[in-house]
Amino acid sequence: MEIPGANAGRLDPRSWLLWGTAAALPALVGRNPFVLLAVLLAVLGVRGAWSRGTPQIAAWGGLLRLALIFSVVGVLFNVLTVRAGDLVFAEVPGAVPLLAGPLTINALFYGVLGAMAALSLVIIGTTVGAVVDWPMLLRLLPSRLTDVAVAGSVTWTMLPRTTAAWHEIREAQAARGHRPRGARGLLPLIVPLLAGGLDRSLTLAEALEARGFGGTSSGDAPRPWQGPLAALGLTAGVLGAYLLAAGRPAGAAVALTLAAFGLGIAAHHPPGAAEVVRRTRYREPTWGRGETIITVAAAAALAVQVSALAFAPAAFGYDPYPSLTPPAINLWLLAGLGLLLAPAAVAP
Amino acid sequence: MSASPSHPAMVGGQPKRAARGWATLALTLLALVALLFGAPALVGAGRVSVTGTPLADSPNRAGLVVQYGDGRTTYAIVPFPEPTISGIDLLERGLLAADVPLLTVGFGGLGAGVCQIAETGCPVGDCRRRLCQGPKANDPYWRYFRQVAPGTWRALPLGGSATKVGDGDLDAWSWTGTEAGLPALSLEKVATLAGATGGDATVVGRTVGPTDLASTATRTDPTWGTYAGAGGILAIIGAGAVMAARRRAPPLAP
Repeated sequence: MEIPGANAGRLDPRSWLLWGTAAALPALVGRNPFVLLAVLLAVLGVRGAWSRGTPQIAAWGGLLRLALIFSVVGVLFNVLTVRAGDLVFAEVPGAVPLLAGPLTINALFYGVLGAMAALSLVIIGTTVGAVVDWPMLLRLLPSRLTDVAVAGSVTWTMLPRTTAAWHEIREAQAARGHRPRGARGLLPLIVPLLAGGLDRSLTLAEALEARGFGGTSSGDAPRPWQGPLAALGLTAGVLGAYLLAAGRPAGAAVALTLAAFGLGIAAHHPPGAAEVVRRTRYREPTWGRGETIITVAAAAALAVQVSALAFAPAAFGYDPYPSLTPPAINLWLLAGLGLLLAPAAVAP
Repeated sequence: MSASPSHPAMVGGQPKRAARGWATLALTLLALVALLFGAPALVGAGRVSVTGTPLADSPNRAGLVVQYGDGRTTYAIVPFPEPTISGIDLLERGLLAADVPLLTVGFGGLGAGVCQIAETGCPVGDCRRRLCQGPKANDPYWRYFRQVAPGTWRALPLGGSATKVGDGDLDAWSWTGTEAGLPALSLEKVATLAGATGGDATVVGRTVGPTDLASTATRTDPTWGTYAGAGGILAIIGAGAVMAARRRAPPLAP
């Protein structure tokens, strides 16, 4: 199914960011097995569908394998440290320091749920990171945030670039007959990797400098109050996030409103700046059916989740301690999470 | 969204790998479902047992008081043969005798933290962050005390794992963020409140107070129809994911 306006496989980043938010929310707010399973299946489907036409997804494979390893470690950690639950499957003898005590199915199950949530978040992050059109995202941001966005995109692409360089160096050295044995055998691989990384950094810095990164023109100079206001806005944002996490929604709402107000004013162009420095676009972003489908589906999934959080928050939660009981099921929520599969329908 | 007959997963060496991948996914999901619904039946016999020590020759005994903050209090008398036991051991043995469930979480070398006693407390996830305490300094959590003089309850900041309990000690766990809120007690009075008879050599424990509070939390399990609906939705999402992943294969090179 070819979607007109799909921009040659690159969709508008705003639709992907909305999808990422909607997909990440369940794993962040609860450990309900049905909800986590629905999200995991949906994001695996999207990743599988988009991996064919997006080779960048494969570059994130290393991080995914690392996440798998850490998930297994997390499960073991939960089993070995939580002394709770009514279903004991083994007992660590008292002679073993720190770990002595009963090992329970309850702790194992909760560890598996935590691993599912962590894996879902990693898959969502790596998929969005690979499919998002970063240059287009930079063009869509306000001028004031361009520097931050450039720094963020450089950071975000560092890992896949390093992974690709590692593979290239390994192949080149193998072609020369190098067979790594032991720690000393890694030296011919690590030295070129570091040297290549430094080379790439210098080239990138020169390219950014040549394009005036971080510079300001006389007409675009920030007002003296904009810096402190931005700092206050960020502080209010952090405070709001803390109050939200601490269960004080009223204070969080006030702090986050102040943060939005402060950052909005700080990011606002000084009058007349637009006439002095004008940003041009080589290619205007297009909004096609693909973007519409993803945005509508993600917004609907997000709306269902927010409604469930407001009226039936137990649908997200699950606690297997002290007894392993059946988890709550909200069919509307599960059906809404099925909409997260929408990007798979518009894959190139 | 249907699979094309020329799909590479159906010819050459791809099918085995694809089939293996989906078989792994299916087995994983099956294991999850089995773990969710089958585990209680499979291992139901293995209930937690934390005592197991011969108490007939126990020369030492300590008292335990657990105050839930809602009017209920659990009292227990714990004889033990060892010279000392940890505060967590005392709590586990006393609560087991009183048939009160306990939830703790390990903090490595710092020992175990008490998350939930009966239904008072919080799940492990929250417990790992702040030991169930809310954002305010006087928000309640399971706090550990020892009576050092009649009516004087001193907080034990080392926690249950690092605190040694010896013969004649009287310890308390209180759901509070401030003081213990307990009256002066003696081992004999705690033994009476726990329901011990004279010369009792076994661990005895009992919860007193408004009994209707203990079972206020009612839960409704999902019906089989709800399970079927959830299974159907998950199957549809899974089938959609499989079809989406397989449909997008590039055509084979000639």
